[in-house]
This record gives sequence, C-alpha cells and structure tokens, in this order.
Amino acid sequence: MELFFSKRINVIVAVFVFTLMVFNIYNIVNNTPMVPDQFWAQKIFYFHVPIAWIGFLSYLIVMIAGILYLINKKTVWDHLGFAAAEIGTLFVVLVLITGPIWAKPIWGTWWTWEPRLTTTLILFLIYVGYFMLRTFGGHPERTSRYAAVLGIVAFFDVPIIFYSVRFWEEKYQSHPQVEITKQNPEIVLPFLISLAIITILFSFMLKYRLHVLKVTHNRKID
Amino acid sequence: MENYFFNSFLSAIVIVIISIIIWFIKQIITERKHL
Repeated sequence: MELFFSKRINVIVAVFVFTLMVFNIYNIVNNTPMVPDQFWAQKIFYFHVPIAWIGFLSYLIVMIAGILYLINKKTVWDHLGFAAAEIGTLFVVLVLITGPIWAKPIWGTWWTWEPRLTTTLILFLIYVGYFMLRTFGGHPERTSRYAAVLGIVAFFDVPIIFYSVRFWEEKYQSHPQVEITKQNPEIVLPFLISLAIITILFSFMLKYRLHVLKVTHNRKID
Repeated sequence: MENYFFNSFLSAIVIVIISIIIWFIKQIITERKHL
C-alpha cells in the first residue's frame, strides 16, 4: 500500500478542503450579521451547530456500519464504524468545548445541567466506553462484534438529544431553541455554506481514516 | 461595542482548527509508522 498523500487526487482534494475552510472562516467573520446582545459570541453558532449535526451523522454511520458488520462480518464495515466513531467523537468533543465558550459570556456560566447538554455529555461518555472496548476488548473479532452492538445502542441517544428540548418541560430548558428555517436569510445562507463545507471536511477525514485503518490492519495481518 | 465577546469567538475557532490539524498530524504519523 502507498501513502494516502502520494496519490495526486488526494493532495488536490486536501488543498480544496483547506481552501474551503479558509473561505468559511472568512465568510463567518465578514459576511454574517452581528446579532444584538450576543455580538461575536453568536458567530460560534456557524460552526458549533454544523459540527454537532455532522457528529451525529457520524454516529448514524457507526450504527449502519454496525448493523452491516453483524450481518456479513466484513472488515470494511468494522473499519467504517470505527473511523466514523472516532471522527464523530472528535466533533462531539468540539461541540462540548465550543458550547461552554459561547455559554460563559451569554449565560454567565460554563455549564448547566439542562437536558440537551446533559444528553450530549452522556453520548460522549458512551463513546468513551466504546473506545475502551476497542482498546481493551481482547479478541479482535469479538471486540468488533461488541463494538458494533454498542455503536447501534449508542445511537438511540441521538434522537433523545435532538428532541430533548421537547421531552422535558420548559422550566428545565436553557439551550437556545432556534428553528433555522425561521431565521433571517443573512444568517441561514452562511450557516448552510458552513454546514456544506464541514460535511465535505468530514467526508475527506473519513476517507483518510479508512485508509489509515486499512494500512494498520494489513500490517497486523503481515 | 462590536468587539464584544470577540475573544470567545476567537478561542472557539482556534480550538476547532488546532484539533482538526492535530487529528491530521496523528493520522500522518500512524500511517508512516505502519508503512
């Protein structure tokens, strides 16, 4: 096998993704309106929310890959689940970091035990367990099987996070309940651009991680 | 007044960028180690 970046197409895609990310930051800084009361803190929303959505999408991939792995035991599904779990967890960690950075100036506190924050933290902790299982599980085939099951079960927390703003009474809520479709187009357009660019970044990261997993797997077989 | 909360925005975006760069560096190192 050859290095991922020894292929010209991968270098071109990497440069393209990098350019898109630079453009995205420029767009968020210069072409988005200042929201009264929140000012610059509101601009965190343009990458905090897309990162959260793509993180959850990643966990959907873990679940689908888990189901497919349990059906036909092909290594490719195990690798896809593992790669998506890793990138999804990186994104959820970034959500759990950028959220409090927004909350401190707006709420006056870094963290509050309200439904959406708490359920997101639970999801992160489930995935900490997932990686402990992957690392210390012992027999590789059995570990992959258990990880597939855990990946399927863990996904049930995602709809709970999504609907947590409705499941619990209003008095327990403090997370903003913003409907993106009802926002000003000046906010919606850069948000959608950011969502598209972060999705492209995620796809590229997933492709690269799958390549690295294939390389490490082949080395273990050798 | 418009610079209000700029530090929050800047620190959030810097953390996101650095984390993603570290992730790529980690993949490059892992890949080279196994090839």
